Amino acid sequence: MIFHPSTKKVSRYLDGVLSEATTRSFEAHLAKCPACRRKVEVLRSAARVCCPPKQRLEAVSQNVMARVGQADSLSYEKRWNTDAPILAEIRSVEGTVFIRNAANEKSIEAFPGCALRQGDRLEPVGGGSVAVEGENGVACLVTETADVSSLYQGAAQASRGGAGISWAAIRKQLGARSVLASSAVALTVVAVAVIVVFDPFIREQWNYQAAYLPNQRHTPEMALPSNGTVSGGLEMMYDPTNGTVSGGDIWRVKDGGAPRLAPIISCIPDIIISDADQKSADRNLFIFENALNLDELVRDDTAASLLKWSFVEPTPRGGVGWLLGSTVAVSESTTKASPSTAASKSPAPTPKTAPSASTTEKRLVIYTAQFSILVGSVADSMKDLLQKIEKWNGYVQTADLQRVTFRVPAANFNRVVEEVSQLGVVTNKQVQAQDVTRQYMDLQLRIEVAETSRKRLLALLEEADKTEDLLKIENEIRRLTEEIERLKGELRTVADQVVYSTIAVDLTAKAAEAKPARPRGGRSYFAWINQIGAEHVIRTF
Amino acid sequence: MEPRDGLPDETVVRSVLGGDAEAYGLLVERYRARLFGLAFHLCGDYDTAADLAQDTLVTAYECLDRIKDPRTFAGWVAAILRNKFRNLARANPAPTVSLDQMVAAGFDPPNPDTGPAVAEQELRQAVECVWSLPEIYREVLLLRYSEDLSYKQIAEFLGLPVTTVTMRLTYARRLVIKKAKESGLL
Repeated sequence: MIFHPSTKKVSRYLDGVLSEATTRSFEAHLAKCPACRRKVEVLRSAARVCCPPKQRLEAVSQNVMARVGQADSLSYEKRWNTDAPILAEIRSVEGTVFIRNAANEKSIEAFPGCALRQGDRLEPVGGGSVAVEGENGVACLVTETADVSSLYQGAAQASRGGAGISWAAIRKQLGARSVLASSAVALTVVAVAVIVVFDPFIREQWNYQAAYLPNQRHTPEMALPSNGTVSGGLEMMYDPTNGTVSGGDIWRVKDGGAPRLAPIISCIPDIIISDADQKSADRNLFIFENALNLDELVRDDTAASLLKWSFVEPTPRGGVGWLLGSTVAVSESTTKASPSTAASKSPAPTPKTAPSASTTEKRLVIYTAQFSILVGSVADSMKDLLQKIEKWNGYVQTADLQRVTFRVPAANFNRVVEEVSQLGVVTNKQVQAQDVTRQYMDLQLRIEVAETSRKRLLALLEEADKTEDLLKIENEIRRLTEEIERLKGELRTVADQVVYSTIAVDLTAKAAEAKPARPRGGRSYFAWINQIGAEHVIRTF
Repeated sequence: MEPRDGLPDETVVRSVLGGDAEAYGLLVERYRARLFGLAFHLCGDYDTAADLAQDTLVTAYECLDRIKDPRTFAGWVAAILRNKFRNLARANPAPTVSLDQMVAAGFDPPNPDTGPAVAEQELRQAVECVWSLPEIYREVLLLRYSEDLSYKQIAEFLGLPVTTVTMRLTYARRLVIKKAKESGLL
């Protein structure tokens, strides 16, 4: 008796998922069993009528790609509306990276499974230039690659390497955070990492090849030297003429000319580096996920400098386009104290007392003062004070019989405070200086960015033809306009507060100082209680 | 084989979102056949199937930034096609399928090694067999042969477990054999 294979086996045979041995035995059976052979033939015929005609498929490809080519003018903004967590992603990491701990001489391989390929060595890929920075042991090889196939090769290799390699992983592996946070840690990287970064905004790829030289401590120099270089694992340039800090990690932007640093315009939680010539423009942005928190860089109180960073977090999905913005303000303080501390020590701080002319010219400080003064005659003193306010080119904000709040030009603040102190016996005096430079610059930049976005949207509005798109764009424009107006209002308020200092004076008559003696014998302060004889009732208890 | 061919959908989708429109060609090559197969299963007409597959791929490109998880591109693009067909089917009832129609629309039977006269008759009956199958079985069969797809690829495309796909393929073939016996092919 012949046992015919089941339909399941036939089906698996046709799909090619039977084991080799079973396939052999099945084919041996087919050779001698015409019934089963016929069954397979019928099923193959059925398969044939399921096959799509090739020329049809080719036509589909051609038509689709032709239409995609036409649609290639899709605006960047549209592309930005993506849930992709990082816009500029590191596509590949090639090479073997070792991290060596100088303290115990132990080395670990940073990216096991992602072996250095033959030909991928320290030499720049496809030519390029080499820049070795200072004495901090960070060499940066900037290369260009336009070879897309090598890019994808790299990506494929990285994906073969196992777990996804993100910028955060690289950062973690290189220990850069630790290196920056504490100079006691001496991690050195002895090898090279080739990192391919794809910039979706300008549709180009760059290869960055960074070599950390062995036996070099990557200790950041925290002091702000006169030439304005802040170096370390994270390289930055400080420009005292405009008070900006530029740079960022080991990256260079090459835009046809010599490699140069690009300013960081926002750092937390992502580092966003823009083209140096287009600080707030939306092109040439790099966004690195979970990048270094620059706050750690400024946590060194022993330095004679104080770096202050401010930032505006980019809206995660700000409709059309990202609202990015931040400013970096740098101030030096010879007293190693923060501006507010310095202000409290000096009762009448003026811009002249600030340490560095180059930076302090740009400082924006809101000065406020409050006085409580004992005077012989409140009315006379008040009259005197009001006259003086006019003399100081100030104006009265609020006033009653004993209290006056007035504003004077910030330039006169010091003189006004001194003169007010001489009005009588000062029982209370509070002078405050609030540094709003950061806030002001933040606002300025946010306005600038929002206006750029609005302009771009207006341009888009003209091009849009779908009602849905039009509505979306109009909504976004409305939202941006409101935001711009609000920001401008805030900016005006801040500017006004900086230009005019606010001083509040509380005048009290000296005679009123003596408080009425407490009535004896259980008598009340209130005459009507005394009249009804309530004290007699109270005494009985 | 180009190195790019091996890239996962997710990477390619991100590349396209990043501005590399050419990378979309990879996805088109990868999905055109199965989209065509699914469309043909739904509408039973090569012309409409080609249009549907084409429109689906263009729509997918234009709306690529709306995909929630680039890893699920296969299921996402299949859902687009189904929606498109649903909109189309409201206006046009599904036509009946015959070998003549298919040949007229460009059907080219591969490997006609059993002789032209016999093959044509057999193919004619095979078309009838396939198109008399319940939809769920016809679907997997058409997808299986739209190109050399694995069970896993079919499962991802249809959003089904692999075991279900395997089982449906077996049942589909069992039904084809049953129909063939009824029509005298076997």
